[in-house]
Amino acid sequence: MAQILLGFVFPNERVYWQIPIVIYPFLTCIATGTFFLSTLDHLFKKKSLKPVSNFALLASMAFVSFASLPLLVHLGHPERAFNIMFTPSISSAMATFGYIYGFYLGLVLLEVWFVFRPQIVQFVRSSIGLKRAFYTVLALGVKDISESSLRIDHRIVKLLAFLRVPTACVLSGYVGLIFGTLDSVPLWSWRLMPLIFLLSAVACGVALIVVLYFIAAKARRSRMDSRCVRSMSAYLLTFLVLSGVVQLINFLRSYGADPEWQFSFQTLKSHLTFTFVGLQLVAGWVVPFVLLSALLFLKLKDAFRNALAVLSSFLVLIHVFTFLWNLVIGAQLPSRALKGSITFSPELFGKEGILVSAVIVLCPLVLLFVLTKILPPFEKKAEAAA
Amino acid sequence: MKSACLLASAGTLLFLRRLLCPGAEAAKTKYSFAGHKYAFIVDTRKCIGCGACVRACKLENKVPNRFFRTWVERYTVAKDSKLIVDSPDGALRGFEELKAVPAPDVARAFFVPKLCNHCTNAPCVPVCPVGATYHSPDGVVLTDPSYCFGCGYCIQACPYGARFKNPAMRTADKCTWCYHRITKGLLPACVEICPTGARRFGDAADSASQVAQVLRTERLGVLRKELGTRPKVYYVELDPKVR
Repeated sequence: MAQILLGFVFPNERVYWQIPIVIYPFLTCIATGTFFLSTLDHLFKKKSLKPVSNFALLASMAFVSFASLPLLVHLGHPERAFNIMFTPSISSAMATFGYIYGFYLGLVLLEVWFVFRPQIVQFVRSSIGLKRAFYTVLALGVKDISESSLRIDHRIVKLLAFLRVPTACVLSGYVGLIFGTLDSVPLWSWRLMPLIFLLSAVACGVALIVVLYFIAAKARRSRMDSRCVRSMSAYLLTFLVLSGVVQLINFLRSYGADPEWQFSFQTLKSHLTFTFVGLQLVAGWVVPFVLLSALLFLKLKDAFRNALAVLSSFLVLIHVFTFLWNLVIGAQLPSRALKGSITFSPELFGKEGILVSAVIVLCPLVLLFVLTKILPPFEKKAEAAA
Repeated sequence: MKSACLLASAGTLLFLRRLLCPGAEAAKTKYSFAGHKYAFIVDTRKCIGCGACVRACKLENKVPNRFFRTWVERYTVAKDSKLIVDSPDGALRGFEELKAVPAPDVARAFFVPKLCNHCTNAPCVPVCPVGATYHSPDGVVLTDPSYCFGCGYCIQACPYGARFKNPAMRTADKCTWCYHRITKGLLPACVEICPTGARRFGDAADSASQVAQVLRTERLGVLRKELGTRPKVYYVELDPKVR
């Protein structure tokens, strides 16, 4: 990695947390944000989200499965990773990650199994050979899909969805806490950082589902459900605004008051003008805000509205990613000596380089693709054939 | 080649010092971990920026290139109040004349040796998720390289930039006050090598020690007192410009 010193910095100062530490909260945000849509359907019976709720659940499973991978890649000794579970130091904000993550993963797996159990049993009954054997294993020996059995399943799904709400909030907020408790880095040091992460997570999760729903609809040659897209857009706009407001409060709270914060912010602005002003603020927040407002409050054709929703969602994903980039990388650029800064150019190859990080981001998408083949999440009746 | 020569010279100096001062060798009595209150005194008036401490530390602790357990900073205040701080390669090879401010324009200049402050309220200790960074029974902040998994959380938590990720060991690393030496009754390598006595180390619990006397009689400061970390590295005549 090329790290150039500008002015005076302490000789040990580097960007120690690199792209994997940007990817880690990004994947966690998606994993916990996608829960929001499935929970609204499974727990609160939000019918407009029915077409995507099971897909969102699978997406949550795919992303949470890989959420810890960037951390493992970053660790100097990944083979010691389980030390965090065997001997957690409870004074550390990072220490309980293993338990919270494991609990959330368990909840998601259980919910997926209960939600898709009728389908699995149907596959067992309708298929032969290896496919039948595979689904028999997935069914875990339970082949009862009588009405009374499904009623019990439904209650369990409700309970799991109910448990998943606080767990997802804790998991996404927890990532923010890891940064927020570090007083030594002015741009991280804010106890309400978990709230920013939580709101960004929901926005990010909804945005990803809109984009993937569009891709899935294209692949299946079907149309997106306009009511569902509109509903998701409304949630997206709400959480985009809320996240923006909390970030603005963070900005106002520190601006002009704290010289260290001011120094760090000036460094962020000058070093990361493109990613901060260009991508995070303008392309990632202002443009989707305008587009989402337009598609929600103006009378538009369904196809055009859906296209706007997909474009806005893609931009929101960029907003969240650049927010994390600027937060993680940007905060490490100003020196603690307040007399200089370092620049950061990510390397292409290497353990924490662009290539490995890209593969990590692709992994959950590949898993999601595989999962949608094994457990088809879209109802055929819900969508009109193109 | 130049580095090798410098390291060799530091090694020779350490050897000669041991040869000439046999009293400084390890006490044969068993080390007691309780009852110590170690403190480190840095006298910024005495430091000449020779970098011998940095070289001795590198040699003693096998510190990898481009990383430092201790380093020396040079503060140059020009007549127009402009402040320039530099520490080329951590002062491993000392300092060359500063070109940015010509000598006649310099109002004052001084050197500030830096190292881990072994804070009483060390921010790096509570953040370690596995407890690999800890306070030793005698109050020294240490990291267990056989248990640290290299997350870097402690590095981020240190406000003094004293920690780094050792590229060879892939774990967090920092000054230990040469713990392997002080528990044998020796001085840290940087203290032993310092030709001007700018670095002093000792047990403040021992009222007869030189360090205890300095703590009693001198005007001392610590780095970034406002953070409440309560460092155990004290600076004589610390300039407020130093962070």
